[in-house]
Amino acid sequence: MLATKRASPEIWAIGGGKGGTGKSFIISSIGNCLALQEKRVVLIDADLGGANLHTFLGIDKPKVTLTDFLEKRVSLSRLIVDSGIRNMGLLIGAIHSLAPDGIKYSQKLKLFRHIKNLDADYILIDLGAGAHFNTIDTFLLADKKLIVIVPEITAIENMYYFLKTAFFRKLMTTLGDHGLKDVVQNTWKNRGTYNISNLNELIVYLKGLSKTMENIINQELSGFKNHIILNQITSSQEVMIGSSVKSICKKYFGLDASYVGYIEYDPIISRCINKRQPYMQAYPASRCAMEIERLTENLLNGKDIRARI
Amino acid sequence: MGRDDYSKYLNTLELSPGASLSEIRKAYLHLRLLYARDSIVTLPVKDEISEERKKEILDEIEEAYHGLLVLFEQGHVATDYERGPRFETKDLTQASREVGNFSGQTLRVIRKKLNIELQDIALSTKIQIQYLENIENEKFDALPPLAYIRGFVVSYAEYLGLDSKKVAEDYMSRYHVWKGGNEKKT
Repeated sequence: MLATKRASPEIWAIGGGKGGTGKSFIISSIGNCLALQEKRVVLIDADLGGANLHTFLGIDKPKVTLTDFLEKRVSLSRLIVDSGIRNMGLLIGAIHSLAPDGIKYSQKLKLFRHIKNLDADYILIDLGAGAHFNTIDTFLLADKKLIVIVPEITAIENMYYFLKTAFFRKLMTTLGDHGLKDVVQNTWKNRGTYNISNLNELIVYLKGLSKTMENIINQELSGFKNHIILNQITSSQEVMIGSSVKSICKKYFGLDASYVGYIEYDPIISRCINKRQPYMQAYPASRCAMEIERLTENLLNGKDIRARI
Repeated sequence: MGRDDYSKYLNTLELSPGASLSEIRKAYLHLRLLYARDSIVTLPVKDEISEERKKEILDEIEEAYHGLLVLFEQGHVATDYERGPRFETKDLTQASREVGNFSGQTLRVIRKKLNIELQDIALSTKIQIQYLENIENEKFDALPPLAYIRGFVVSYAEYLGLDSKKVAEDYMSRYHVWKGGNEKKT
């Protein structure tokens, strides 16, 4: 067979810091929407500590996982199992024999390279909670970065922390490539002397150091766009929280974000998860299903939801 | 001038070019509230920003809103007369046909559906907002002299993208019914 040249897949990753905000539910539902549109989707459960995406899809825990790729050199594409949904495959990231921290840097780079080479239209990555650097690095790998919040102060707090950490890591990597890593680290270490108390002030200070530094930072800022999804809202007023968070990201941190959509709270969702029944297939005409379809469209078209009421 | 300020102001209010006055006002009210008080969105980042910078942000929001209003009033910005409602033109032509008789009430319902504020129409058509309200409420006795009314209704209907001739005809016939009844009484 002739090897035809194909476009590399578009990678979407979903994170946000706090656990229990609905990341796995949302990303598997988005996958369902894309698969319905005849897109070939691979869903990756990169929650190294507690992979459970298979439960959302109502299938048994796959026997093959990323461990087989890392330890037995099985090719990544052979580890993709049937998700139960047409056009969508599932790859479980649980690494039984290794502690979640145990993945080596070189292994990680190799894994990322192979993910980018998978034969699919969309690769959706479900990240675990927290802002561990492995989680952050996987998040940064994505072409589209999705963050989930719920209308709770702790979720919003963790999300800001997650975004700041992710941006700082991205900036450090780029500056490292330019041999400027020490400058940032030293500035941050001695931040008291420079009167710097937060990321924003650090960025302002660094930009003032040199034109090169300013250019790099501006480029990094504009290349770091996040897509906000607001989950589990219980009143129409809460819709605005997404717009508010978007505004704060821009005005406080200089980070661009788009607010792609919200999902109402629906107790049926937890019932479906417990019954291991994919919600999108069980209730395709529900309000939540339509909200997820709409936010998927917005993600595809690069649009914001019109949310001001 | 004008263009640069326009982009800058819209940027501050986080809007895209072509935003309607309703959108501008909503954005302004939302942002003003967001940056003026503590909420679950702002409390976690309280330390991230100085009080002075916070004050600056609020000032920028005020400046942007009032600046945009001036630009609209001076006609530097094409109002949504040419844009906004036109998107729904197809539906509206359909609606115009389906509505048997345009009353003040139907006009208000359509306007609300289009998410257009009376103030936007007032700014664009230069008709006093009070008159627009009276047209919707059919407070015929509080409307200007007969010669003006038709013109006002036409402008209003055009702003909404409706078939203005039909709207004016329907509306004026309602007016004349009222007037006829009124004259009999006196």
